[in-house]
Amino acid sequence: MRPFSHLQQVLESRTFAVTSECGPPKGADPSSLVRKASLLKGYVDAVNVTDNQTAVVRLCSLASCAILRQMGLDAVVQITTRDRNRIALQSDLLGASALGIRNVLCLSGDHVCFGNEPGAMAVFDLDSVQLLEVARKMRDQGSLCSGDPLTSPPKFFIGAVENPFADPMDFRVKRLEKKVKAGAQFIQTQCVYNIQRFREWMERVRDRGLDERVHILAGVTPLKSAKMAHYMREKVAGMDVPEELVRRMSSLPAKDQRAEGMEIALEIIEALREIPGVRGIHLMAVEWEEAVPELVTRAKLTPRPSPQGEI
Amino acid sequence: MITAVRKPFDEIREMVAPYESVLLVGCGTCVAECASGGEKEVAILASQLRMDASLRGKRLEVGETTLDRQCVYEFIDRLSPLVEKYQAILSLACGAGVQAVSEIFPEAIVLPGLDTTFLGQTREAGLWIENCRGCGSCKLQWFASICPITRCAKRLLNGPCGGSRGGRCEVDPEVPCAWNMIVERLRKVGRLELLEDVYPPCDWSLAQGRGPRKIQREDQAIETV
Amino acid sequence: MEFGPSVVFYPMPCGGRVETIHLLRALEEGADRVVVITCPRGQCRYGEGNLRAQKRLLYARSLVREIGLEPERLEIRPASLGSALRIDEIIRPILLEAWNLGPSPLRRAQRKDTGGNHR
Repeated sequence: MRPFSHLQQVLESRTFAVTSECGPPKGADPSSLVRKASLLKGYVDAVNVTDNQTAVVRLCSLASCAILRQMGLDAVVQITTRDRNRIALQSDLLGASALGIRNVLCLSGDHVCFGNEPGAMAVFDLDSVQLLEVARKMRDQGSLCSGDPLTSPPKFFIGAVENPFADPMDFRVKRLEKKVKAGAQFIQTQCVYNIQRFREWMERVRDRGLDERVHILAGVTPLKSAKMAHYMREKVAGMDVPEELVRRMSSLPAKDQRAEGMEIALEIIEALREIPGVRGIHLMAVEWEEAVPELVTRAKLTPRPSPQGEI
Repeated sequence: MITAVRKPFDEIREMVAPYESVLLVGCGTCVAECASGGEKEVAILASQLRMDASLRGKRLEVGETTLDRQCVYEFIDRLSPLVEKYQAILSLACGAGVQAVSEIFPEAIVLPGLDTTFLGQTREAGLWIENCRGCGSCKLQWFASICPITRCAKRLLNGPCGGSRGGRCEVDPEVPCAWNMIVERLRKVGRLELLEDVYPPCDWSLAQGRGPRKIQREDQAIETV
Repeated sequence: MEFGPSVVFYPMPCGGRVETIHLLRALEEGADRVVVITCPRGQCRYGEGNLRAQKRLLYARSLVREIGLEPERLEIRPASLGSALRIDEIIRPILLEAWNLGPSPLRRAQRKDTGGNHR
């Protein structure tokens, strides 16, 4: 079967893939999004747009991805189940396909309480695993969750996220397996700082044969400052930032910390490439999209393969 | 039980402001158990209202009575001789009780003295925890008797999510991650395989109904001859 | 036991028997000051009766605050540790303390109130 997207093509050709993401604006003017995405063009195989991340209302991922498509980028639309019921979710999946968006990332989403509309009803009609199944059913069986047939099936490469560092640790691999069973074809993980722990997780993943059934892209977020390192270590749920990295960042004066953050990211990328089963990286350089071209170049991951044919 | 908490005193004062006599009606079941609307709480609120009225130079006669259950017509009927003696009724029952009373006495002003909160258990003295959301389709047998719809903040049926940390929910570190508990319990009894298959989407129509839900039992109905 | 016309004395078997409503009713009936005397911490013969009294008193204070009355009118005093004093020897010093809250506003208000309150 022909790959649905450029990203799928890259992964299936066993080229080490690079994806990144853009955060959309908290407003109707997409120019900041366009600016960020143009920085990434040529350095990544596909670009994710987050979907009301941390429950903060932003320009929706679907519209943002349509804009990215117009720029010639392979977009990954992120869909959370927090904000939409199955009617809207399936409708949006059809919409994404109709707009030529060929990668879909299925997530549950951060709880409403973290965002700027804490009084909103948290929908969670489906969870991320059920959404994966629904997306696959629509694509492969041409029917809705209820079984009602579609007049034409959507086309997309289906993905999910996994956090190797959240609890319960050993159950995470079982959960990954469940997602693969449900329809996940690629996985983008939470950003990796603790290489050893990630190696252990990958070992378990390989033991279950999952590396042959799903393409795993390891998340990488370059640290901008010691403050950021500290914050991520202490305050972000499901994140494992080794003390040693925080020390490395803190031991330098503020003006040198960014460069050190880049160094650390490059070390992590290099280590990740050595791990069997890791098929690519997902660079999440939040509000630091300019870092991506430098990272990709210095990691010797350029040039990126050019898109073949009509996507 | 159904739990509830007493409304802020200011709100109650404002509700009874237009009246010179009010009957406080408590309920001896759920709200007595969670210490918000039982006989004791009726006495306390009545005392407060009388003192408050005195301090403000306002006339307020406050009656007190408590029904065994305020959601059952047979018990509510016992209010009949009292209702017309007061300008308003301040019910300290859950929302079900307030409305049941109001239905039996449609001419009366029936005010809610409590904010009804959730279905739960008394974990220990002074601590009530939500554990059921009345989804209409109990699935506890699949989840080691820990309800993911109620106790997982995202009601995941294929959890946990990526935010579970140290067995705690990302939303509130005081709240245990329900999925962590489910996994641990199933692991302990050797039944983790229950989580291998994808749990399909819930039929929420059983939870939301078409408007208010009802149960009807012919075998329980009484026919008047 | 008599302490003079301005003192009403309620003996209880244990601090744990003091309910929130008793404290409110005392104020409602015109008390300016309510003092609950319990056994010292760790010496309740029934276990934690004195701790319950403490919690209820604190709760009663919050209820009293809600209606705009001074919560300090309600007090709790553990009798001094190892005290072999008679109860009147514990109470008299309390009565002789400087206490500056004055008469309860309720008494003034109730005098003005011509209507009755039924219970």
